[in-house]
Amino acid sequence: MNTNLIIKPDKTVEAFYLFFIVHTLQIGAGLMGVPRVIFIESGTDSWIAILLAGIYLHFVAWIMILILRKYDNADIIGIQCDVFGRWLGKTMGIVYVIYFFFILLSVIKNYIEVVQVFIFPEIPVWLMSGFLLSLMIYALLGGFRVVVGTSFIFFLLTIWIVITISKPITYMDWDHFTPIFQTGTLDQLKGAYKTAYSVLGLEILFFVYPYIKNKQKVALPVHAGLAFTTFLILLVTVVSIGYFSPEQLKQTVWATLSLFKIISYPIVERFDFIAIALWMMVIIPNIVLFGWALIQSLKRLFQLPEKSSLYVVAILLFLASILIEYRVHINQLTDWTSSLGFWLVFVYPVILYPIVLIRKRFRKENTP
Amino acid sequence: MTWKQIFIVVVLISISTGCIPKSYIERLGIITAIGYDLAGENSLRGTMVMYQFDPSTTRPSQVVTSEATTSKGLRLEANKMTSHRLVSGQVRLKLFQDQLASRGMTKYMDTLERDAKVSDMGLLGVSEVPTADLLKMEASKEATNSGEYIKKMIEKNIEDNVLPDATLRTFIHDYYDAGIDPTLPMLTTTDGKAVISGQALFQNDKYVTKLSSQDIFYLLLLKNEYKDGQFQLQLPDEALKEFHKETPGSSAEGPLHVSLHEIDSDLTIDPKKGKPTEQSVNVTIEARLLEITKDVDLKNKKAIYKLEKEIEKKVKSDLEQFLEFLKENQVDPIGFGKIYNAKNRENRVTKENWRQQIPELNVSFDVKMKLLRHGTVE
Amino acid sequence: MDQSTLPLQIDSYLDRLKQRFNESPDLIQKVFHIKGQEVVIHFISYQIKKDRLERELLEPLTKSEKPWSVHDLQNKIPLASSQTVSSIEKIAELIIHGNVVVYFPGEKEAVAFLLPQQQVRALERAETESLVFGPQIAFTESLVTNLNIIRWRLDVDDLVVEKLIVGERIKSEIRIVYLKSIANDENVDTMRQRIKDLKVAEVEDTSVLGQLIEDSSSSIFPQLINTELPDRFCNSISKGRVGVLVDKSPTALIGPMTLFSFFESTEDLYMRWNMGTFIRLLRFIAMAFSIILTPMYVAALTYHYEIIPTSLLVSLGQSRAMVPFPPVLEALLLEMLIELLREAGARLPTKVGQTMGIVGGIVLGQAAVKAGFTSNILIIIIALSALASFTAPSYLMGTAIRIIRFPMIILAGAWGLIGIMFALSFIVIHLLKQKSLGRPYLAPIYPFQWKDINDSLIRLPFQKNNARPLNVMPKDTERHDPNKAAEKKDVDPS
Repeated sequence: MNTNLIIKPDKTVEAFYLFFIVHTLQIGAGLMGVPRVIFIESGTDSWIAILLAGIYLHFVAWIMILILRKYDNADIIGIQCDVFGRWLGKTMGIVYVIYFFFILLSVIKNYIEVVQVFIFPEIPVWLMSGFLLSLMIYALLGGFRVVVGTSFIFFLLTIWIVITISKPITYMDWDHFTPIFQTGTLDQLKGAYKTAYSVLGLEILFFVYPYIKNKQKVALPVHAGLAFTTFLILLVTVVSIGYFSPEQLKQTVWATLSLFKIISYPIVERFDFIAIALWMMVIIPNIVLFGWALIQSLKRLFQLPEKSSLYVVAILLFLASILIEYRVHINQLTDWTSSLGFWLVFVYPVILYPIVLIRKRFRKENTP
Repeated sequence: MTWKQIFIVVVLISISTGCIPKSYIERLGIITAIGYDLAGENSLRGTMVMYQFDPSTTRPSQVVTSEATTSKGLRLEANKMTSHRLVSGQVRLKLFQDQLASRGMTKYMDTLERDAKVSDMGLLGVSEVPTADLLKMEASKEATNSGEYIKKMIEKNIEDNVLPDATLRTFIHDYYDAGIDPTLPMLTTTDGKAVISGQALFQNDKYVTKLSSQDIFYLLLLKNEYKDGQFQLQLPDEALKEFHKETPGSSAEGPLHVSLHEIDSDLTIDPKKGKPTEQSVNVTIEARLLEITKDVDLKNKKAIYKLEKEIEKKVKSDLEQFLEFLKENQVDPIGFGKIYNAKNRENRVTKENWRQQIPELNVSFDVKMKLLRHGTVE
Repeated sequence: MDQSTLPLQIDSYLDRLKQRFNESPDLIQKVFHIKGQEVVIHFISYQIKKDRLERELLEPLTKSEKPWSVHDLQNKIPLASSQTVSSIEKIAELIIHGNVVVYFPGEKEAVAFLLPQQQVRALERAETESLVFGPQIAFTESLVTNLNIIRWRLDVDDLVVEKLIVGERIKSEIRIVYLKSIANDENVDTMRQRIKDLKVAEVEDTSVLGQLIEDSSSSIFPQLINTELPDRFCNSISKGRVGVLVDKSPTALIGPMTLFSFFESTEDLYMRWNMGTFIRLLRFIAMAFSIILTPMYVAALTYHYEIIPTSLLVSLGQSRAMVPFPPVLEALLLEMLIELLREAGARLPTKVGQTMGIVGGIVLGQAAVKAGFTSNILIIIIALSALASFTAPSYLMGTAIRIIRFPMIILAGAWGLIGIMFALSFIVIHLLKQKSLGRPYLAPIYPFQWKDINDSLIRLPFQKNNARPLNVMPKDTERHDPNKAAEKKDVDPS
């Protein structure tokens, strides 16, 4: 397998779009419930935990870019094979594939769950996952540029929801934040760790990097995307902490969506219904980008034809989404992917970087 | 077949098989207001004001009463009485009879909060008379039914700063928060009309006592910074004796009433470090004098100064009385405990220990009054 | 063996030609004997200008002193367009196209003079894309007239007009029009190659050609613009786009286009920029409303009674209570009614059409509500969204948007808000996948081009907005120097 990819110029995109790729992939199912998850660990100081997570996020992104810059035009699959050799490298690639599969599954399942709780208790699961997967297939058939376009356009179509949060802000109780620094360092770190699930998605950089036209400009959009994600999570969490009382927040599973419940407009009494339906557009870039990464990895690892592997993956996802029925299982799935993602996305690159460096030096000495 | 044809076929199959039970609005009984009464030892009586749309009737609003043991059960029971499926997604007002409310309201509201279909902006209220009487009353001309009328009445009073917020969201927020108790408006009937008679005070979710409507002002004054309100108070008859104008025919006799408008207040509550029961409150009130029942020479600066002092004295003593009332009933609608928690790390107030500490509450009030302008006539 | 190339003797020549024309009575054969020389003249009487034939061809021909030769015929007859032909097929073709063919039996070549007479209508005002102000002229069916207008508007030698012939059986003359120093070569090549590669019996009209060479024929969205306005055509050409004209068709084709260009009207340019921007944004909002309003009504009344504002609930419920159908059917029926009215209005003469509008709009609408067929709120919604869809400057786009509503209503009726979101997401992804002459359809939103937004979503003043649309990749991107354009050398009044 070639470490470096050769990409036709008409398939590449500007580095500018990395902002949207990274950001839309990070914001998704996780954002709906993130305030509660962090709050349970870090309490009123959750904002510090998020800032810590944000800083670490930038650090990881920096390491990832350093790794990628060691190669001309490689993705993680190629780098792993180059560093670890054929077999171990491919095994790591398979770990990525499994991770992508499960995160796709958990994103789909979580959204279906939300729709069932908030809008349609009766909507069949197969129908919803059929909807989401058919949109995924339709977008993926268009190739990489359509995938990037999906994340860009759906970002524009949904970002305005942030403005509506101004109503809950007026109901905020600032007493909930003081006194600060009540939480111990360990709990802060736990909170930061829990933030991980909502900010998974950074790993896409390892896969899209070869498709970027102006590689020297990669850093800025990636970091801007991460900063924006951190800002959104911070905003949502801070507003939730102020809006709900502490005990209440601990019981509110989808705090972000519950914030929308008090918003009403002259033509729409209950904005939460619109917001949750519109959340489909937040989810689609997730599904499409993860799906693309999954298909791309399969192609790179086993030279599988894109179309047929796409259909097979979609059918598998469809069946899996129908078979998992209980809320407990969904939570378990989310936890698993969350911890797998944490190691794969936030720890692994930090370990990989020194190995890449050693490997490169070793090779230089061998070939004078 | 191409992908597109398969897609179309799949969509067609889904449309024909993936149907969801529909809820056409003309087949629904859309409940807009519910009242809960205590029917027996263990049973509830629910009164539901709802819209149901029939081609034949001109008045779409109807009232149904049913009995059951849980609030969901009420709906099931009521369903048997109407031709339309009853739904609660448009409930905007929930009333609880005081006897029922004193047993704790959350067990009847549990469904409210879990059910994502119910709006958080619905209003809550407590009623001194059976809620059935309130909701079955003939509505006034401007509202379609009495549920709608009561809702509008409470909404208006909240907007005019006469009542504290009574939305479900605020109630639940205060209920869950440590060191603060929720309050709700109290309703009753006079002359066959629904009126607000005061404010219901709660211990957690249990109704304890009624605050008279005169005292709601003090509750509002201590709860938040006050904006654009109005208030009337009675001062000692002879408080401004030396400034009375000596004009014949003017009424020097009778009580001295002062009417204040455009009240803006500044509020700071300072708990003592480590001691949640020791608090000091600073209130600065700015207001416009609208009316005074005795002929007082208001051009005299001294008279104004005296008046301010008298009002300060009166407000302070009223606040102290108000606090005594709260302590007697072991309720804290103002949230002294919560404010303490926001400023202290040690000896924190919890839901459990605060209730015992309320009677020991010791608050020193400091009231400052500023009369800005006074009427158009000098 | 049937010999069809010249030279031929007079009898066989006349015979062949007559057979070629299926013994048509329209073919006129005239044999002159001039100075002992036999001259055969052929033409179709109504295809040529007879007075010119007599004055300019027959007179010199018959009055000549010496016998004619083919060479003399071409040089001495005062007619600009002449050519020599040597096969019967070619002669027949030329005669059909308004030529007069002169043949001296026994010679190797005949000479054809072009004296065409075409029935053309005069230039008229635009009908389907009418403007309130700005140039009112519209293209006609005659290619020559159209080219004449274009040359007149774009009077530079930079203008390239390429000629192509398409059609296996009935040949159509096609012209590709572009500005050489601006239009992107790749766009021109794509357009030329797509037209050249066509293997069809005939091309009926420009819109047919458009459908034949489009990037995606399965999409409901048009990818090339059909316009009958020369000013729109020339404006597009001068911005670097490629235009196509087909003979006998009163519209012209422009590409590559983006979704947003279908909502642009040249009127936006003639108006002041702030008005233009306002009206352009109004159209986009109208489109969004047009697509979403009815499905939202259906979804809210079928599933989500919670989102209906309390103040509307009673009036909606009461009007719905009379209606015997579910909201989907109700909405579909009314949408159908609007489509019927539009179709009937389009087919009928203008005067009757107006009556149709009144009958349909007022009488049917009123009666439908009275009879409890529909709720009056739905009537308002449907009328509003129909009105909104007619604001699209492109008729095809307006129709596309009206048709999209039908599946959306059905989806809304089946799965409520989720169905609507699914449909909208599908449309967005679909639009993302579309291309026009290989250029992205959703430009300048994706790929994002900040400069292009100045004259697509909004319209900035000309001084500020000097760029040609970058998505068509013009060779020269600047239209003018923005500083120069803003310069004002007013006479100092003091």
